[in-house]
Amino acid sequence: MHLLAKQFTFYDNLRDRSISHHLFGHFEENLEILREEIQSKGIVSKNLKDAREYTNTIGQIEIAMLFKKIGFDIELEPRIPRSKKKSDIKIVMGEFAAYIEVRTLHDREGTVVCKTESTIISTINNHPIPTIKDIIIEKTQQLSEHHPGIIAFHLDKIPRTLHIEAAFYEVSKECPIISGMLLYRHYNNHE
Amino acid sequence: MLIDFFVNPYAKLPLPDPIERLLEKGGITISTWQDEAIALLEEVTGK
Repeated sequence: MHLLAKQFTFYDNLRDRSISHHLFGHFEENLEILREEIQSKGIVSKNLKDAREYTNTIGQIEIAMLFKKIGFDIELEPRIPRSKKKSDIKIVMGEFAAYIEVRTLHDREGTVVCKTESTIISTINNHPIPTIKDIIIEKTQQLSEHHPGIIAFHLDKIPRTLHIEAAFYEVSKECPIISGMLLYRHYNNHE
Repeated sequence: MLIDFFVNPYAKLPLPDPIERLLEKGGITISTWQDEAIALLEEVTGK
């Protein structure tokens, strides 16, 4: 692990530390495997240093890694042919090409209903379905009219996905530009 | 790791079957809207 990354784990407790180590290791592996793709697009490195763009860029890298491991050629921040649009990821396999728009969704704190020294029980506070629908519709603006398009959600500690599936179901007919929706969640070793 | 792909049955340009098979081989679960799923979603969303 990079020494600088290690510093972020100094104040973690034992369990947190192993999670941090795992996540740093996982992220370093992603950066190494996508080194060429990231280096060829300066905007990705720049976004990793921008607090407002950081989490969505992490999601972009996670999803790109997923498709690269399957065997697709990857391009980050590709321009859409015959348009001024720019997408998050282009995947290519032989004659096939598709564009992917990525959004990271974070969990939302629920209301605490019971708290003891060792346990906190709280309600699940899902993103409202209209919010998810708005995100999907907004993301379709960057998809190609002439290639299959995928909306990918990188889920950060979101335990349930039925509300996201419901939102996609509700917009699927009005957004035929979307070929499908990908839900992705990476666990650390302790989950 | 959770990796689910939901096919849009109304897609103008659906993913070709060989690509879907490749995704499944890569560990992605592909779902299409079944009648039961639609009924469940309609129950949840109230529509």
